[in-house]
Amino acid sequence: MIVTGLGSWSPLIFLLCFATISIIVFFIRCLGEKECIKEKEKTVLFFSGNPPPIENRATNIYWGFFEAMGRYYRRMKRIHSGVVNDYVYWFVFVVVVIMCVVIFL
Amino acid sequence: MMEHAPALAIAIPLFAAFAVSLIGKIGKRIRNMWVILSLILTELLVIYLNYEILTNGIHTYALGAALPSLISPGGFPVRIILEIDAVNALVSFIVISITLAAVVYCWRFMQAISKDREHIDRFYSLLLLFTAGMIGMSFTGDFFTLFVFLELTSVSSAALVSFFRDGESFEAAFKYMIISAIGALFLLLGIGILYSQYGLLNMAAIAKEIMLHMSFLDKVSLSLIVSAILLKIGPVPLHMWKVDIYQKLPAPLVAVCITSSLVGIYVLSRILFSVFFVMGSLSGWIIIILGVLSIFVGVTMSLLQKNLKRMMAYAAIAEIGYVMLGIGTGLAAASKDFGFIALSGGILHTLNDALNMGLLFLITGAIFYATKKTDIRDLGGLAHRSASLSALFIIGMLAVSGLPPFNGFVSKLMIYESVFCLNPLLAVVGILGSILMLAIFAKVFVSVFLGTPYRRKFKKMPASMMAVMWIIALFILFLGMFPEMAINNLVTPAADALINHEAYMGGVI
Repeated sequence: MIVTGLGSWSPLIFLLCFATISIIVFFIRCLGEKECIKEKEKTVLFFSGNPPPIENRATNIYWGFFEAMGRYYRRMKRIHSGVVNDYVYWFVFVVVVIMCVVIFL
Repeated sequence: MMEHAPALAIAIPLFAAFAVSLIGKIGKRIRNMWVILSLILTELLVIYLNYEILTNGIHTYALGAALPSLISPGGFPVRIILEIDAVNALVSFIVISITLAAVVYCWRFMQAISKDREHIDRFYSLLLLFTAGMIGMSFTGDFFTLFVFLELTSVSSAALVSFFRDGESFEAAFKYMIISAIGALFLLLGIGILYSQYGLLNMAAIAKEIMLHMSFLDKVSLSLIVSAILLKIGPVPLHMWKVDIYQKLPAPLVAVCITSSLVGIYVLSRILFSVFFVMGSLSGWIIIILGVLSIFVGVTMSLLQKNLKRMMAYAAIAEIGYVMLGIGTGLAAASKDFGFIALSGGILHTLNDALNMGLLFLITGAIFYATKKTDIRDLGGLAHRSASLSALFIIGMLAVSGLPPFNGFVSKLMIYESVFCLNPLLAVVGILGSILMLAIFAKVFVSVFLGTPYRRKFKKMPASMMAVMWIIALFILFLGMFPEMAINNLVTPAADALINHEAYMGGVI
């Protein structure tokens, strides 16, 4: 048992609980539908009942997240220019900020 | 003989590095044995040092003195002094273990990616120099030797980055050379300011002077030194060079490079805890903010990547953020119980990060070895070709995402709970980062391992590469199931050594 600040942690107790819950889940699963969904239906995208706006692949599974965070990502792409001058600029920026904080605070 | 263990732990890889090119002329098998033998010897010395320090306390060693214990004749520290306590002994153990694993992995891996024997000789030579530099950085007790070893790691790693000898590799190496040179100049300037004031280079002796009175110039020096070391560690916004070089380095070498960032974190902790401890709270908050930024930007940028190595590089930056969050909280709340737990969590996460990210980079290397591809859009269905590699990836993925009962969970739990006491918002960002980390690797797993079977050319992976990855995976599982062994025997003594700056000073003065 490890003290972690506000609580404690024991991997053995976790595994015991995990095994118990897994058995219950397996039991519930056995009560479910016996017939399998047809192969074709398995791969159809579900987009709140509407036709999906893009052809989605596994590499693009977080399309919605990127759309919602569009402004952040556009800014981040601009910052990550790959130009070494920018890398040096950020270093100088950090030096100045740390120096101001350490000297004036 | 064993009293010289600290010096030998640096000298053996250094000597082996210069001898590799000569031994390589005899044959590649003998050269490989030579490299592995030198690293095993170094590992044994480091294990001995760990044992001795846990039994007898801090070990100091004066290079060039008539007696290695002749540290401060007349109360004034002269010569190059190595000072090893529980923290740097642990860090050097991590460095040498991961390097040894990477070299065994490289045995067959390097043959597959380069047929030029002399090219591989140079690779091993530079890798050993890099290792000697990292161990030197961990062991040194004075600022100038720190600068020398930092330069040694920078020059050797810049040469390693250009291993593939193509345009992008040379560009990444060039960028890294510029960045390292600028960082080294700032470090040297900071050290020069300290030397001009006190006429000292020894960390413990300077700490004693600063404890009496912290001047304006000390603050300037602190800013310059900390910024330079941060550049070496690579938190956001100083991380951009890291992604470039991680993408161009051979995958097993990235695992070694991760330990170099961890050595940087150790050096930063040593300077802030043991030398400039007067500024503990303020510098702690600087580290916390950079850590939180690294977590958030690291995971969100990783999610966007299509190249496996770039994706892992950003994930590695986020992982460094967790270590910094723990250590920063330890600094900001050094006098409180939760501060100590945060520091312990940060130190434990150092070990976990080296294992988890190391394993994931080795898996990336194995995928490259088998398919010659690193873009996830070109991969898919690899689980049908190598179930063992998929199992390894699942272990690495769950461990790095901090899911129970893997090792990453314990260290992250210690960090979250203690950081929560400092500011709940920090814990929220940390947990969000973990969730996104799982999302990143779930995407990789679905894209690379699931789907219809991989039909293109798939080279069978050699047993040595698989064995190395499985050994690391077993360590991950072991640390997850029995974390108290690492915490009681390695982490708590290391956290004690960092907090107790008077003991560090007492080792020299």
